[in-house]
Amino acid sequence: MVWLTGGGLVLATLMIAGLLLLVVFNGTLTFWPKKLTQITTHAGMKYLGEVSRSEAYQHDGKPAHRQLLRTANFDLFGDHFKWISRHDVARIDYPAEAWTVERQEWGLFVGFLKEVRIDGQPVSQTFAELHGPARQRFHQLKSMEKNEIGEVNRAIEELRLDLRRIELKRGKESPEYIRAVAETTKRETELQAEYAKLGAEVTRLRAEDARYTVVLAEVNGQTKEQKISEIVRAYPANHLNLLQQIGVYASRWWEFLTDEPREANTEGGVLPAIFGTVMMTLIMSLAVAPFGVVAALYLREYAKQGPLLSAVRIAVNNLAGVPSIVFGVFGLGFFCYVVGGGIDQMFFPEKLPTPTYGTGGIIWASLTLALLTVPVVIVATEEALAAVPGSMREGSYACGASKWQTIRRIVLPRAMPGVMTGLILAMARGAGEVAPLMITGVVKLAPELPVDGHAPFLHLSRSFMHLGFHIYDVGFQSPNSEAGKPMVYTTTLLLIGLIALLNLSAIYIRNRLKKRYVGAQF
Amino acid sequence: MPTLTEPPPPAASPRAYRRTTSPAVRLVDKFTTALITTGGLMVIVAVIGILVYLVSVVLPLFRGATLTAAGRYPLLTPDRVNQLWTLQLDEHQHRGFILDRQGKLAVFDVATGKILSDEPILPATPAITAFTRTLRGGYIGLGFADGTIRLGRIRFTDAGAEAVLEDPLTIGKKDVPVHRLDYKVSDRREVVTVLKADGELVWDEVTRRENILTGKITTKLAKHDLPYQPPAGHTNLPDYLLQNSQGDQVFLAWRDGTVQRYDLRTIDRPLIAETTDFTPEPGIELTNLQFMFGDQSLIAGDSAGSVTAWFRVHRPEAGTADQYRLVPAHKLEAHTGPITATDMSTRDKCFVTGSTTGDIWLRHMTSKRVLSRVTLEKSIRATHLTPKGDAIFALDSAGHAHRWAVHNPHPETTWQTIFGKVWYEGYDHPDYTWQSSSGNDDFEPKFSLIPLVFGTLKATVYSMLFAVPIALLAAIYTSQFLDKRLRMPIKSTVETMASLPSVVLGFIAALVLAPIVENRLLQVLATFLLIPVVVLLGGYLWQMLPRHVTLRWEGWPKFALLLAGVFVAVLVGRVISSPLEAWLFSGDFKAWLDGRVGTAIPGIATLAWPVCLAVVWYAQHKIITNRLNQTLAGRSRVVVGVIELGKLLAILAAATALAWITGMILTQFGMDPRGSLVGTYVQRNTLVVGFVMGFAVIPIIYTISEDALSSVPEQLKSASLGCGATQWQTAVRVIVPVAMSGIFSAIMIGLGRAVGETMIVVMAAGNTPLMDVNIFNGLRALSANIAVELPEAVKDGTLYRMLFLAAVSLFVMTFALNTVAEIIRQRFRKRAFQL
Repeated sequence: MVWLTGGGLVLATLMIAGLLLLVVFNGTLTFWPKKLTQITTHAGMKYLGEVSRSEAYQHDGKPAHRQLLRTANFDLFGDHFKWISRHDVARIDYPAEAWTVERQEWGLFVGFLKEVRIDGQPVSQTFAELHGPARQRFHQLKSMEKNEIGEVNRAIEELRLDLRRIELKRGKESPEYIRAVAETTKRETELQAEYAKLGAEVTRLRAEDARYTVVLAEVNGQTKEQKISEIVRAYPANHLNLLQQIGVYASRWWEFLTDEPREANTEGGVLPAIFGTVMMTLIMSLAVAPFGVVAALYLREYAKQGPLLSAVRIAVNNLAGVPSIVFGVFGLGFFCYVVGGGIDQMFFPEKLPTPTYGTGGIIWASLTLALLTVPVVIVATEEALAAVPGSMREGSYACGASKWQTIRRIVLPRAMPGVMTGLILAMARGAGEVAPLMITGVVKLAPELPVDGHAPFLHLSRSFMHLGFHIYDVGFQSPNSEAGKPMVYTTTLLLIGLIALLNLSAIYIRNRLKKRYVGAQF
Repeated sequence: MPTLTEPPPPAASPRAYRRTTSPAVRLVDKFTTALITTGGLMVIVAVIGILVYLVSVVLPLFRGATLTAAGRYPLLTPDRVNQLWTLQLDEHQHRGFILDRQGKLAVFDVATGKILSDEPILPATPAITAFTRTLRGGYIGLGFADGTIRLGRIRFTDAGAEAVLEDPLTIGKKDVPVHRLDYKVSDRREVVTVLKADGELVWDEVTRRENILTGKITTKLAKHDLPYQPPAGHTNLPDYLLQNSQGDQVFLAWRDGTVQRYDLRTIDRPLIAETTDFTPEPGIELTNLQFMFGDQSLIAGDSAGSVTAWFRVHRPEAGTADQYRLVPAHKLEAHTGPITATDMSTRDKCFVTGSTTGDIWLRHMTSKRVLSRVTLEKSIRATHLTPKGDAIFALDSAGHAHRWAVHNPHPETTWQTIFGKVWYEGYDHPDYTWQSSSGNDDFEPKFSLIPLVFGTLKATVYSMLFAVPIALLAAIYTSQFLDKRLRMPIKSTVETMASLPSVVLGFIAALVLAPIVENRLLQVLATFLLIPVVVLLGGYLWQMLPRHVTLRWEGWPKFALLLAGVFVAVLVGRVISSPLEAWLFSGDFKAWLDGRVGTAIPGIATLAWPVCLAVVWYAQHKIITNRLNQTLAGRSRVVVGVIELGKLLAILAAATALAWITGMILTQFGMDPRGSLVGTYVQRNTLVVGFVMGFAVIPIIYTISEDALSSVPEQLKSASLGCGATQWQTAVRVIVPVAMSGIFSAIMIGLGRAVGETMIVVMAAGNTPLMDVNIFNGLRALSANIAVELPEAVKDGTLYRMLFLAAVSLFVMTFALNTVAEIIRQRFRKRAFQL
């Protein structure tokens, strides 16, 4: 029977270890360049692709084996994957000149580089020579579209809003409004001219860009001409040496951590999601720390202890066990609609009926999570405060210190490790929550980060991306979830890593602060 | 021993000590006291305010409608009021019209009652003998004394209202007056059914063809004769003729309540499907019969004031020609006088009824609620519910018009519709249903929280079945038997699991685990059963090792052996699953689950096995343990080990045999677990959810119950061991009972977490709101439902408030669970402290 209980423990540890290993293994392997396998079937069909996984299945009632080949080339085949049964396979090769091409659109291409063209004519320059400048052009174009043209659009939108503000304030017949209309029209024509100029520049760059192409051929010979600038990365998968493999691996990680997603989030990077997660957690801790500590100080130091207070204490403790989705519902109803709607009515009437604060946004999501985690901080702080010996307080009072002086100089510093631990645990919990965010402002693809170069720089009303929601979205909502699966693993790894980091730092800070104050005890 | 010396006197201070606190310090102190007190109180109030806010959003669901009088004026002469065909208002309540039996269309201003125009829309002859209108779109049909009908439309314009009528169409014999007609227009078809005075009953499908050159539209009727066979004793023609907009059901009704239903689903073979009586009590007459919006339910008002909703349900045993039958599904509260007027909402299942006693009630069919009532002095002649449902307009017998503004945001919800069974249109019987949206325009949302609560409980129960044993066993082992060196690393490993985001677990459940379980269902299940058995066997084998080896291997090696035991179980499961499937389940477990192959015996035997094992164990414990112990006393370790192992194997075999016999007996009595506890396999199912949610709950239960077990005072354990009890006896009879309330509170807190878990259920449970205990089927939990539907819900709509109600129920459930747990834990602490 003892062994049975041991079995329970082993099973529990085994499951955790298995899960972590699964995530770490798959997460770290995702970006390693895979070999391209060419399979020729008995029917004479050729397939080229990365072997994704294989499984046993029933074929005509007999056990059989098949492989899932990532044949990619979605624009040519209309499919990303192909199951190939082992009994169909006639030959397996690893063609040395096969390339894996990652593209900005349409996903992966696997096949052969036939020729490099400029203006439709084959040239002698290699792909590698042209790729660098082409990518530069691509980024330049993108930044022009985003920044300069975006700037003009923003200015036009601002003009419209200014006009609307005047209309709301003074009415349509007022002289101010009529004057403003004239002014606006003038400004708008100027901006339109600027817009046209920029547009022409973009068109010119595009035309320049379109001159450089590369002809790709898939394994059966079908070709596709592709702009070089739209190729993110290309490598001859089957004759990379170890160093080159590591290079591809590192460059993919770099892209993952610093770039924006593409292809419905299944490729590219997760920078906006990392940014959103971190930012939301920060705002949350800014909100939760003072309130949690103040509430705990009140409960422990100021309030009269009694049955009512213990009831309040139990209630606060139990809030930590209320499902996060309930807080999400509250956040949507109260923060987004009541508070946010109120703010819109008061400060942004010109934008209505388009809501500014009256819909999901990073500030509301953060506040919701703050509410969710405030009990954690209260409980931790209270425990830390209770652990400060009464003799120290009495000593302080005896020396003539006031209550606040005692708390500030004696109690709080000694309780600090506990407070910090509570706060960081709250952050760890907040960073991993997804359900309440789903209804208070997280989106699968946020067009803009909550921080940018335009006043007021911090846009708290914007919706944001989140690592946890990214997992849910890519794994479940994506049309091509098989291709997204490796991404999910990597994102999971990142999220677990982030949370582990927070937890570890909680432990570290606790230990350090403890050491600092343990020496100072009487 | 050094003696304490007096500390040296402090060096003489250049300044004198101040005896009073400086005002600045006092001010700061006062200020912070105020700040912290208000701040602290505010945080606490805010936190408790959450529930208050949630409830305040939910409450309007249960309020009825309010009517505010918005005007009354004389509109028509008393004679003309009795000559009305129809009364309509536009959606802005700006203009209204009435159409009377002489064919005069009077348009009036709704606010003042001023008649703006009063023109005939038809020539004086032939006389109008029948009239019908559609609920939506303003289509009308008129029947005339010369046997013709005219179809058309009355529409509101800027000036008032205009009638557009098509050319007359002759139906049946010329000059035989049209007795009744009904005209329906839907996206798919236009149908008109006509009853002539000579008893000719004709069903026509209207088709229109536009001449491309001239733009002239020609209307054609595809004619089908229906048999007219009035029930015995009915010599007069029926008083009501109704058809639905699909055109496949036609109803004839007489004033005495007799209703004849035609089934026209195959129009070439029209059937008189059934004849029934809407007013079974003698002497009661049918005074009003109209289709509810959606054309599925008939609202019948009678001379006794009763209002009943009838619709067609599938009843093969009723013996009707098409196996369907009309049932009085909803009997609504009765008026005191005969029903004289009804009007249906054009957006939901609300309607207004008026009676001779002057009562006007706004009702909702499905919830059977009377939402609001007003009483006038005179009998009601006509009622109208405006297109937006925001006003009621009524005419009394004196020709006076009355108007009320209606505020009716949530007519369909009552405690009964949310928590009770509701008979929705098209359902065979009252049921708990959650279906919040659909593509149809005339769809009725169905809000029963019961399937969702059921889903939550189902997921919780299955996950607790998995989590509680593992977590408790692990906690007992960690606190009582685990080598000290291993305790910290293992405990912190399990605790890290607590901070794993549930979205990760959900992803693992749905994308990794679900396919594995689907492909190797039986293997997974067999492994679950095998792990305890193999580990137990391992324990017996361990007993046979020489003592010095067991002592030396107490640490990591023992743990590694346990691990090996689990692996062996997995391996054995893999090896035996195929033969097991062939032998027990006719080679295909999923087909067996569907009920397509095999008998119920293996299923019952598997389910009964744990119970049988417990029974056999208990029996052997009572009967042979003592005797065996006496015989074995003094034998060597190995011999005892072998005999005990033999005993275990015998017990297992006996339990299996007993389970099989139980299976055979119960099968004889016709029991079959398929269709209830187990059944058809769905990929997103409760097994996977239970497994992964158990995963999420294990660390919580483990941590709290381990703490409780470890904090049992050491002297109790020492005393027990000192009295000669084994470690196991000490653990089970001393430690666990003392820590019981702590363990209980751990389970409660775990339960709370499982109830509210969202992402795992969203991702892995399939989100089907079914009431099915089958472990291989999906479910939809309250929390998942909120997460899935709230982003789409319109603010302050019924769905929005319903989801808030779901949140409130979750809040209350978990809050209650946690409070109970907390109280128990505090009591436990006190008790443990006293011991």
